[in-house]
Amino acid sequence: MAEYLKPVPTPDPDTKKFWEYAKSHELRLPRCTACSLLFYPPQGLCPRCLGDALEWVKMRGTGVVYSMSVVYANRSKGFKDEVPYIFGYVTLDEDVQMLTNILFKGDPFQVKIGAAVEVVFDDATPQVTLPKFRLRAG
Amino acid sequence: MGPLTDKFCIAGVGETKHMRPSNRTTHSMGVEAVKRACEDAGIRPQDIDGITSYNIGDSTAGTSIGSSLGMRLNYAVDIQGGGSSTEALIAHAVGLLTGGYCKNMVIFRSMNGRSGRRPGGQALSGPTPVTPISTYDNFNQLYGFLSPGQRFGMSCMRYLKDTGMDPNKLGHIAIAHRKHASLNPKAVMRTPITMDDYLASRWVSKPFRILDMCLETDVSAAIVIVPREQAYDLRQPPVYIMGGTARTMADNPLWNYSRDVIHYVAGNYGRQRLFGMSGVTQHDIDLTSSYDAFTFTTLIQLEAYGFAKPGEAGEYVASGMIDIDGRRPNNPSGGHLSEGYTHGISMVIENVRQLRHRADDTCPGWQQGRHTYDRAKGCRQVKKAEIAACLGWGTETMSSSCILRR
Ligand SMILES: [Zn+2]
Repeated sequence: MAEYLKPVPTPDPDTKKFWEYAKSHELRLPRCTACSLLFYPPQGLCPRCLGDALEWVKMRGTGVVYSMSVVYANRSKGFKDEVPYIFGYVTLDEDVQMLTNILFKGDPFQVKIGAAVEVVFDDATPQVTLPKFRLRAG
Repeated sequence: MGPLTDKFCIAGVGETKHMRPSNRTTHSMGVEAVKRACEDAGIRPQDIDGITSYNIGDSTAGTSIGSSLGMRLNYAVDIQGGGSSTEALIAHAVGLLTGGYCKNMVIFRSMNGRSGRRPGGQALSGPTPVTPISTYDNFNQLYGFLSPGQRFGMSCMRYLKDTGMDPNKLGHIAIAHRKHASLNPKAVMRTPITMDDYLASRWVSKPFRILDMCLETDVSAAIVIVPREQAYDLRQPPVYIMGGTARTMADNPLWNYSRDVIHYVAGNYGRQRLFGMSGVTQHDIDLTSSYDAFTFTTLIQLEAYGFAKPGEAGEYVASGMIDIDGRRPNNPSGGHLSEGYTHGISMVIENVRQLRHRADDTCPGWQQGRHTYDRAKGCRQVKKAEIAACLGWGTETMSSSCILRR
């Protein structure tokens, strides 16, 4: 396996579970048990009511593209051989938005706002798995 | 008129050349810029006792600059930040002067923005280290979301989708600012461009082409702020600070992308405060400066501060409004797109020169305020320049602003 040159996450107590679930190919996000807000990125307390009793809810893993950029220039080693790549925000069916890469084959401009996507898990290193998204039919 | 009116003035402005590369330290450039701003004002650095600056970990502390210029300081602070910092530090200076902590203030920015560290921290080799600054940054970087262009591109794409604006309208901003730069001897890019040139320029990060993006340069610039009473003894016509916003954040800035309409930017939260404090309305503003790191950041600021109705900024810029001879010119210096990137301070400086009626162009009498207003002869002075609005931008969620008058 080629050396992974991109940044890797530094899990902290607030995000550790997110990465552990990702490693077992589950997309789970924290939900506040007090006010039921589902949120991303993970943090240790609810940004709405400040409650700190959180549960990790499994997402269906499907959603639509909220917005994106198609990157043609990135000089960083890990990314420079991958251009053009897309990152964007995906609105999950559970009505929460995530930053992610949107994977595609061929013309990047086929990826449009509103496109249906589904999660895939990229086992980047033996330690780290990144949830990403790809276009899905219908 | 608002509570600040007439109390404090921008008395001096100055900068180094825009260099690519400078082959100089940020210290050397910072000393030159502060010295030039003092010379412009007709004040000795020793008569300034407060110095502030902004940087992104890429510059020299104000204490060092002050020391080299023989200043005996009562205040020195360097804040973290790029865009939106200039207007924030103007507010900061006003507070220090009001409180009597300092007599006179200078603000500077010094950066090897091209040859040194570039915004977004994109390393030329090797992986970008993930520093545990915050969870938010970590998540961004993992996915190659590193530069401002990539970030703002997402807001722009969603804006285009929600408003149905023709994306080519962004080109009008690039074209107007380049025309202005053609009248600015200091500008890096002075050759006028057409819509065809714009549309033929390469994608960097769709929706942005290379001509949507600013010019990174090595540069330092400085602004001297003094109380009104002091300004009368100085060399230049005073430019009064009418009001501003210091560093307004959008609601829930960390969560902007996950909860809100991403192009509802921080200026929307600052707009009423800015005009309320200044005691004027958009209608009273003769010229604007926008933080044109990208064409889109200009577009969205003009909308956020109420110069264009929601969804109509494209029409605003395409109508000729922002042209130097339009109803409300924007960035007559050429701005970041064509003069050179300074993280915002140069746009405030240009507005000061315009309000003095002393745009530093090729008119023989510019230093005395005598202009031909003939663009074919290189005149860059805006015809009616009584009140200017400076629109600072950090990110979608961070904004600052001020209104200045002659
Ligand atoms: Zn809650």
